[in-house]
Amino acid sequence: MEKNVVNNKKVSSGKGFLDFLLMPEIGVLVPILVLCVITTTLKPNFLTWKYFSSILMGCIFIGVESIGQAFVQISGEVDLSVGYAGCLSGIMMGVACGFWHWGLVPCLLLSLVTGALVGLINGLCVCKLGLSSWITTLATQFICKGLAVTISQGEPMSITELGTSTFNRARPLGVSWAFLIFLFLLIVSDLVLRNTKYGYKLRAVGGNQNAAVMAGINADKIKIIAFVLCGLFAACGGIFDVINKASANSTFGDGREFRTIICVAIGGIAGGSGSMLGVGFGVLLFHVLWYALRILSVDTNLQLVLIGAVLVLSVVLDIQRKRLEARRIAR
Amino acid sequence: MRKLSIGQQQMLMIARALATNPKVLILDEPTTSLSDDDVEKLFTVVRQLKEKGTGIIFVTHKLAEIIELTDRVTILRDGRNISTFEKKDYDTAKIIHDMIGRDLQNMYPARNVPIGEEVLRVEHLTVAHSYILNKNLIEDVSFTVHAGEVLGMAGLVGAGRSEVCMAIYGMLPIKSGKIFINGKEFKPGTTEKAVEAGISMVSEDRKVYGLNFVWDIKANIAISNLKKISKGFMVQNKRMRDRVKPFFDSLRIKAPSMGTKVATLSGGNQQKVVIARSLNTESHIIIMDEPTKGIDVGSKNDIYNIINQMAADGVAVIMISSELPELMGMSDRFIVMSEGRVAGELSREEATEDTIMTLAVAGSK
Repeated sequence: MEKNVVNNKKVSSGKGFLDFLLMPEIGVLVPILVLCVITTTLKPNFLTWKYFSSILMGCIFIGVESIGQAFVQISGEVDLSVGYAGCLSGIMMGVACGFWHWGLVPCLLLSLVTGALVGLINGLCVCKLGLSSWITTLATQFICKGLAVTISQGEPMSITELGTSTFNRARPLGVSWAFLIFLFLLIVSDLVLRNTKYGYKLRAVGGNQNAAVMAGINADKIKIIAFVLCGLFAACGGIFDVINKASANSTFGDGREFRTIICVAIGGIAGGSGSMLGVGFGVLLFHVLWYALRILSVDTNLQLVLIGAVLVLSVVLDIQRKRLEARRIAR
Repeated sequence: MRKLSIGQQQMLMIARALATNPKVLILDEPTTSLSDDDVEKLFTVVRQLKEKGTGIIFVTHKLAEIIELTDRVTILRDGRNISTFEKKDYDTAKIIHDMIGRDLQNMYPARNVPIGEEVLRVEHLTVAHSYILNKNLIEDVSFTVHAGEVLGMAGLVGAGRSEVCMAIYGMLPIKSGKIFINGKEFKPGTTEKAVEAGISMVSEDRKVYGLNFVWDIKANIAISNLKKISKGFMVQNKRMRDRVKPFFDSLRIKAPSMGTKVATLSGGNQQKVVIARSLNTESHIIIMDEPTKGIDVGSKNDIYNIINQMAADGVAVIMISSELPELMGMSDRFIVMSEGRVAGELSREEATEDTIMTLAVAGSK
């Protein structure tokens, strides 16, 4: 009996710090710091606010689409259509502005509706027709890409009428408005996932769909909402692109689906678990690495190799962290 | 390999263990997935090995197996060695006492609950087979359940007992038939609708349909009724704790705290969490499909007491069980199913193992 008490004490005294280290978000923060230190030693101008703020502002496109990807992946599915759903949404915005001369708000709404519609189609195919999300979203990816090129006829469309240049140039708090919007969306998403009824149900479905259904949760509804949210966030990515470049182009968003999958994986999202804060750090790590490789003028092809290696490494670390956590619980 | 039945696979595993010619063979719950026939075969093999001089450690929670097969029994509870008996000293009551750590007054506690109004009425329920055309899984099933009553559903495995309940709960599409809850027609669709209408179900397959193993006890119980613990969209952690605490205490879930991950619990305690999740819905109809499958004697007794408490609270309980003594000990009334149909209905007085099995095997013919 006495031995037991001593053991308990030992565990609890080391608990605070170990708990902190075992938080999934912190696990991602460590490689970010390591990367920054290494790159700064080699290129001292890496860790200046000028450069770092450009990393932050560069995050938002993949970042906002990663939020959507995370919603879908927590429910246990995947969305390969994010990149081109965003692209198509951007094209629709370009059309509404350049050809129909709509105002800013209707343009944005049309763009968001387009993204939501793509998400709805994905969700209905996966949940109601029982298709695999890999196949469904691969198909909608092609459809979106085809539509985007057809509608734009492969030409960039100017949106200068909307007068977004002051929005782009402004630097509140040292970063762009777009970055602050992204940060706001990230924080709200984190709250939604962590604390709302929908967040609980989404994690329940991702953790064990059958158990969630037995508990009286309409898993199809929850998943379809996740796909629609993903479509909306994809549209946000598209809108950021269009506003940032003051034009809509069918080449935007190419290959972004896999980058969001990488960010979400680094962020520690798996069916039923993970947090949006983790996704934010995943996005940051991905971009810090990317910019670091660029400033160190690493060969483009070698960059891909290194990014792949970091992905594997981060997932391995995440598995190790979970094992450690499980061992502590078992004790 | 896949073509072998589970029983044959089990035999193969034992054969593989024997190939190394061991001096001691450890069998950990070897009979849980075996049919009675295969259990007999396994016992024969074990006895032959014993003759040849192999020492055998046979881990089981089934009392009958201990008495039939073993020469000496050691009882472990909560990681401690409780007691050891020689075959000549075997005493069922003593063994059960040591297994659960207290005296079991009677396995099936008596219940004295007045039976109330009719709560659920099922009329001519028919469910089509999911992939065989023109074949019905369930055909023309009708029955009623009253408040405070435990309806026992008997029948062989595959007679369609679970399917009837899953159809009512909205997990299988209904071909024809009507369901009335408190006299009002209820059209099943999703489990969400069923829970809103006041039905809850505990599945027989705890691994697949049971719990979210990523989560702790608290969240697993709370998830079935988030409305009660949230304000607007937001779930409030304090109210979640307050809501779950009474279930955690009254069901005697054995865990350090409500924050314990369910993956670390024993089968019996996991089952209690599943039942707590059902109770949390405040349903007035609760379906229990094999609620004591694969759990220890003490937890079984606890679950019988929980079922009695439900009935006392006026809940209509439907209980499916393949263990006849358990079903007969717990139910007020029985329907016996055979090949997707109701083969007969029996009152508590009429029900014996004979009458139930005759109906279950013979069917309605």
